[in-house]
Amino acid sequence: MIPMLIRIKIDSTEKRKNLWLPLFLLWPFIFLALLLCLPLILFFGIIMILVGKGMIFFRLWPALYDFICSFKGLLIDVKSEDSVVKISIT
Amino acid sequence: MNEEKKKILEMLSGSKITVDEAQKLLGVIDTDGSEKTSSDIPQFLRIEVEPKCDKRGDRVKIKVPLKLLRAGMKLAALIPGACHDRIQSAMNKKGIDFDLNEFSSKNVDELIVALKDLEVFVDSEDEEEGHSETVKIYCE
Repeated sequence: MIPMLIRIKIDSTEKRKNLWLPLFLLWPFIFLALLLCLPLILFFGIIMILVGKGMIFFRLWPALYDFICSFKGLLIDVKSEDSVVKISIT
Repeated sequence: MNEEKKKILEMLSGSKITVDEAQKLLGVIDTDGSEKTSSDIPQFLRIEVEPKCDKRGDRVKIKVPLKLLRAGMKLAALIPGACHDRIQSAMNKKGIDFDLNEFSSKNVDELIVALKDLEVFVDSEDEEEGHSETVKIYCE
C-alpha cells in the first residue's frame, strides 16, 4: 500500500515544528501528471527499446512504485535532552 | 500440547489407530506447524538505543520496513551492467567481499526469513563521561 502521510516533528529549544504531509492528497495529482505524460513516456520507452534498454525502462516503473510503497511504516525517533526529532511514514 | 495431538494420542491409547498411523498424523501436524512459523516473516528491523539507568543521554528508535530491502534489491537489479561492475569494484576496494550479481530476490527472501532470529543486545558503559546505554537490534 502506498504511503499516505509523512509526519515530521522537530521539537527543540530553538524551534518547534510539527509537519503533517498528507500524501494521499498529493498522489492523485502525481498519477494525473503521469497519465498526462504517458504519451511522452511511451515515446521514450520505444526509443529505449530501439536502444536495447526497453526491458529496464518498463521494469523501472513498478520497481519504483514498490520502492515508494515500502517506505510505509518507517519510523525514526530521536530524543535527546533538549530536542526531539520524529519522522514517521504511515 | 495442542488439542489435535491429544486426540491422536487418545485414539492410539484406545487402540482406534495403530502406532504407524499415529506417527503419520503427528508428522502432518508438525509439518503444518513448521509451515506456519516459516510464513511468519519479519516485517520490520528495529534499532533502539536507550540510556541504561539515568535519564541522561539520547534515545533512538528506528523502525525500518524490511520490504524496503526487497524493493531496493529490485531497483538494484535494474542498474545497468557497467554500473554494476563499478559498484562491485568500489565495494571490493572497501574490503566488502560481496558479489552483487549473485544476489537474487530468492536470496533476499531467505535473508529476511533468517533475520527473524537476529538479536543484538549491547550494554555499554562509558566511565569517563558517566553514560551507560543499551543498544538493541532485532526484527519483528
